[in-house]
Amino acid sequence: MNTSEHDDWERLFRQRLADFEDQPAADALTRILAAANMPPIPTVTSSPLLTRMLGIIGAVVVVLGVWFMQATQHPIVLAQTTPSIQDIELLGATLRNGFKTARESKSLNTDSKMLPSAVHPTSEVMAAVESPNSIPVLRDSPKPNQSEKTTPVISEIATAQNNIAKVYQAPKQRLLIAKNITKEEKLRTFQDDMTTDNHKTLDINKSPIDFRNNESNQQPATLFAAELNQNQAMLINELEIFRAVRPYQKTVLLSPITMPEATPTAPAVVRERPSINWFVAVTPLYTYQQIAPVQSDNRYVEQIQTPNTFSGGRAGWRTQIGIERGLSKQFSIRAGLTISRLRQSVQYTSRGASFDSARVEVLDDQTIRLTPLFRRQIGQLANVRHFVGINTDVVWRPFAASAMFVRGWQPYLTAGFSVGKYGGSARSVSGFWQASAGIERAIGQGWWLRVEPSVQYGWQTLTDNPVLTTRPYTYGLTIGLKK
Amino acid sequence: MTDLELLQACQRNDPRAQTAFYERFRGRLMGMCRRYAKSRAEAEDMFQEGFARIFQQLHTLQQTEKLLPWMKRVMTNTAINVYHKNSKQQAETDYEEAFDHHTDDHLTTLAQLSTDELLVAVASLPDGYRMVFNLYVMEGYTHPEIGEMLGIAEGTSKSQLARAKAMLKLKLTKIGIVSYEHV
Repeated sequence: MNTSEHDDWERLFRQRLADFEDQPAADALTRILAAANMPPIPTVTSSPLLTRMLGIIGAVVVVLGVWFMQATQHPIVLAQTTPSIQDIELLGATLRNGFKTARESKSLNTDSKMLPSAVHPTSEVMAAVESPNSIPVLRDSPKPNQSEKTTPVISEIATAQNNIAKVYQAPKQRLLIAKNITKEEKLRTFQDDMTTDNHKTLDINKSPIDFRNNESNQQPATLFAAELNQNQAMLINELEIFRAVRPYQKTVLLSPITMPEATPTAPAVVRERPSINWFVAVTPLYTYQQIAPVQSDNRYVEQIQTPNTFSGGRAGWRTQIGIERGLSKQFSIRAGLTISRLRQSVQYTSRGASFDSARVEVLDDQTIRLTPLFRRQIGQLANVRHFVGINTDVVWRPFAASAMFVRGWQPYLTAGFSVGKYGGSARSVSGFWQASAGIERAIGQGWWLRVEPSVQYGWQTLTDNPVLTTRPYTYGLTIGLKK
Repeated sequence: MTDLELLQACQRNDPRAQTAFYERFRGRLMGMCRRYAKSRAEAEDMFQEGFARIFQQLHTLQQTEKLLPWMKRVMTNTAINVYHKNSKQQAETDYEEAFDHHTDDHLTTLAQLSTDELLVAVASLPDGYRMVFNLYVMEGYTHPEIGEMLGIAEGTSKSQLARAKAMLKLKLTKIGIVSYEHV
């Protein structure tokens, strides 16, 4: 078969079928016009005020979350309970400087009268020292006149005292001594020790303290030195004693003190989650429905149409507030009140099962064509459903045991259900199965931020419409806070 | 009422004009659908869907001289959409059979068969063959255009056309022999 034959064959075929006409079904026009003139699917209009409120709430949640994350760099680690190495070094330097100054200073070694009043302690410890029960050497108050030569030494002492004061002005719990021992208790303990016989057996010659001023001062000074010598580490804890005695060190020379090794920093303490937490969450969501026509003998539903997947007509929201109780390190259960607003619209056409009229055409003398005609109706459903109920979920943190955090975020999974009642035309008790996979992180001051994509699936179909039954399901993104 | 007046009235959604418009073009467009469909029922569905689309998009048309080609194009696109919907469900059969039979009297046979018999033969083609045959032989599209519309290669379009014609000639020959016997 050559090309010309091909062309002839195609041309002949085209001639035979090009102008071929046929008649469509009798009710085709009705169907065509129903489909062509079908109005666009209505979208449920949302309240502008409600939309704005939801937007504001969402923005506030996001802003607060970001602010908390930026404001708290170490939200989990508690304050250290022991002094840091730097603090101890600073304290040691202060003590060494003070002792060195006292040892090298002639004025301090000779006469307490040369001490200026400026270096007198002004704390309440001084008052305690001058009480009738005080040690004699401590009663020897300095004279107001001061030698010019002592000024540099005094300034060093003042500097040393300032350094000590800085240590004491550190945050709470940074030094054990500041937390547990009061000044009066220390002084009282010290005085009690003075009266015991144990210290009298100490060898003065071996004492690191040099007694040069007054023999009557030897015993308490020796006892004090022995006290220091027995446990140098206690010196740090007894700083208040040092401060109390220091103005009277004209009678005491302390040898250089080897500072105890810095106590290793205690391990960071991870905050234990309270067993019960409050939580609140907001979920923007999209609502979808499984739609099925109601089986009826006298009504036929066709051409069911719904809005596009991400149409605004599907947008809704859900809020939750409740408590979460820990069951174990990995599991917890949460329960609360949930309020949802679901929106969905449907458009359909329906006709009666029996025809409304008929068209009769006479084809020839013996043949007629009988065509049934149906009257179609276009129906629209614009459902806005409110659901109020109680939700319960089991929360599983699979990596809680291994403390797996990615930039502070910890993943978790939830599964549970909500049971409640629909408002509006449905007015029926129903519920949802729900599940989610989220991440959470501490944002400071006991607050946790949660981001949680979630899905809900209705327990049962709703039959609040005479033509269609629907079963809703939703997809949403939950943003919540827990404390 | 001229085509322009009819078009303008339809663009205003005048029901009487829409009915008149439908009456004027329904036969030709339904005949076109019969060529593309494998059954009358499918042709009617195709016709209704295509005509509804014509009414919906009629407001975009301004020139009446392009009305019929435009409507044919809409119907063709509708047929292509139906083909794509059904393409996954169908198996192309009778493939090898087409090349085993050659007749020399196909022109005579084609001239002697009725239009309905020709339509039956076309409708019996596999969907892909039928689409390519209609688009190339009846509508005048080129193979590159057909390949783009159907989502197939140009070579595939050519081969399917060749097989469609061979298969069609075979079927027409068989139908012709049966017809001759009845005559």
